[in-house]
Amino acid sequence: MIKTGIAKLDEGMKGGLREKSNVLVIGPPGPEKVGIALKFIEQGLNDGDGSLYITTDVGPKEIEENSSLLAEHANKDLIFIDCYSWTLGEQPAGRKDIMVPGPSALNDLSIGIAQAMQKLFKPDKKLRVVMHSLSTLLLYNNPEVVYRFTQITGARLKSSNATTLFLIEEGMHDQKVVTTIKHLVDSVIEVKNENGKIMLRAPMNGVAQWIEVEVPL
Amino acid sequence: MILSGISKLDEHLNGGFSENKMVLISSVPGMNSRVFAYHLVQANPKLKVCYVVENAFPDQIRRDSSRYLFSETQFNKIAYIDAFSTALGLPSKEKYSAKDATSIDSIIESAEHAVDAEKADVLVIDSLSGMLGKNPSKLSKMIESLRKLSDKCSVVCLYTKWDASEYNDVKSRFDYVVEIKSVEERLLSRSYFKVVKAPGEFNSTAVPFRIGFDGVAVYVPKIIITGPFHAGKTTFIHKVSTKAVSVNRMGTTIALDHGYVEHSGFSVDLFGTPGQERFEFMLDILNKDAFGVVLIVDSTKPETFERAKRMLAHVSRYSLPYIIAANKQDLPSALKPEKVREIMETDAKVIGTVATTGEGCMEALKMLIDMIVEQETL
Repeated sequence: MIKTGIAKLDEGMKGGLREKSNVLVIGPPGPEKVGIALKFIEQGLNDGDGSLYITTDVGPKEIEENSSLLAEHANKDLIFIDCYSWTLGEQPAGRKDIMVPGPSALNDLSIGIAQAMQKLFKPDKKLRVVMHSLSTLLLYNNPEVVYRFTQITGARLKSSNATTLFLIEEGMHDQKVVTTIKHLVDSVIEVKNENGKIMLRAPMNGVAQWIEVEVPL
Repeated sequence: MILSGISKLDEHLNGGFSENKMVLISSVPGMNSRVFAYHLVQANPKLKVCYVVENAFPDQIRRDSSRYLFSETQFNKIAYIDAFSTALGLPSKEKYSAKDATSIDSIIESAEHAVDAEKADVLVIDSLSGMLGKNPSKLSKMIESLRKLSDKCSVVCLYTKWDASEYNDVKSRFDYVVEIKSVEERLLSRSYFKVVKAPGEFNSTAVPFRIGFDGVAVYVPKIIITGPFHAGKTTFIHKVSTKAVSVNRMGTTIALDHGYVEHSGFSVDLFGTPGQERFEFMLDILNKDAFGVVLIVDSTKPETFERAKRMLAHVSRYSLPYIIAANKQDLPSALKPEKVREIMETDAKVIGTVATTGEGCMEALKMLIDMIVEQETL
């Protein structure tokens, strides 16, 4: 089992997410999904797992600003793939992340993932991956291409002992697109924010009812 | 003749690509096929190259190519066709750019213009899969336009194989097809290329390579020969190898057996590990460059199979292709290969061998190499 780091959720899921699975984290625009992703990575760093954070929406530096633990482990057992800073034209000063020339360069992204996995992989080590987010990939690519990317990348990540969270915005894409992507993953964590309360459920993992949780925002 | 710039590839193509042909460089996702284009640019200094870039800013390609030890002057002469900036609503800094980079027609139009204006000898499309991603239904029309362009210059398309059925369709429309594959999906560290289609004679042998500072570097793959103590690993290696050496002490291998063998054009280095448990760490070291594993067991000693199973578990963590040689089949008490498979509780292929006479050894090795080469990633 892979703990998400959110105690109530792990409890409801009888220990955590299934190891080597692909999980879709879906919710309306807002910081909750990233909060879950950060918890997930922090738990991994505490457990000694290797971690990969793929960012398409913000720079790795901004992610680190939300978590000192991530900043401390970056370039060691945490690797960032930066698909965002290409808009600046070059790698931000002082960073050593793997750079991808943009969210439409999906082969470059898969090269980056392969590089990162090579660095992180050890036969007995668990790996954690966050893809933040599929929504950006869908903005820049034909949905068919994103499906194939998700399917192939997901299968590869599983075979390298990784458990992956794919983040996606609710309400931003065609319902058909979201349904297809749900079919490509092993389970789904749904997120919502009700008057400031963060609620989660994971029906395929035994958490059928919404539960209130705390995540950093 | 247009050189690919990778000597082994040129050799397999019988010299290189003929002019005015359509060339497809196809790779599984996660492989950098661009490096093959860089080699081509480097190897043909007298040719004018136009380079359509659809998935990054041309500056990013300039930077990417400068990471390798290629001569910069040739790369500075490339005429880039920017088919990226306008898709983002940004102005292009390049002399040539697609008016609307979201449209395949507009990209092709700008490429046609650049080829004429530059009197190009080679047009590189980076990448065909990216362009098809914009609109898969345009394949036929796009290939038709590129075919027309190939009257004026050679057309080299980089392609990522995301979808097997699309690929088969694409492949059929090209004169030359070079495939870049990897033995094992996960780490992608074991890659090879091979020519699968060419107008004339060609050699379709797989060539393992790595991408290093000087681009594509061809190397000799390793096969690990492992197994419990006194199973016959050293004898096996000496029997199948053209040349072999061992480091022995008191009748057993204490460091490494090393041999060398050729099959279906693949040159393979054989490394035998000592069977004693204290040398297990060497498996980890050797595994990094390994293409596959032969596990040798002594068929007369089922009591050693437990140990063999543990070695197999150790090796299988790397997801390498492997085969089991049930050795010493000439002895009366030897268990049959089927029985060995049963006791070992494995689905792997088990071949009966007699290392002292060489019987079955080469067959076992050939079968493993064929497994490695034929393993499809998609």
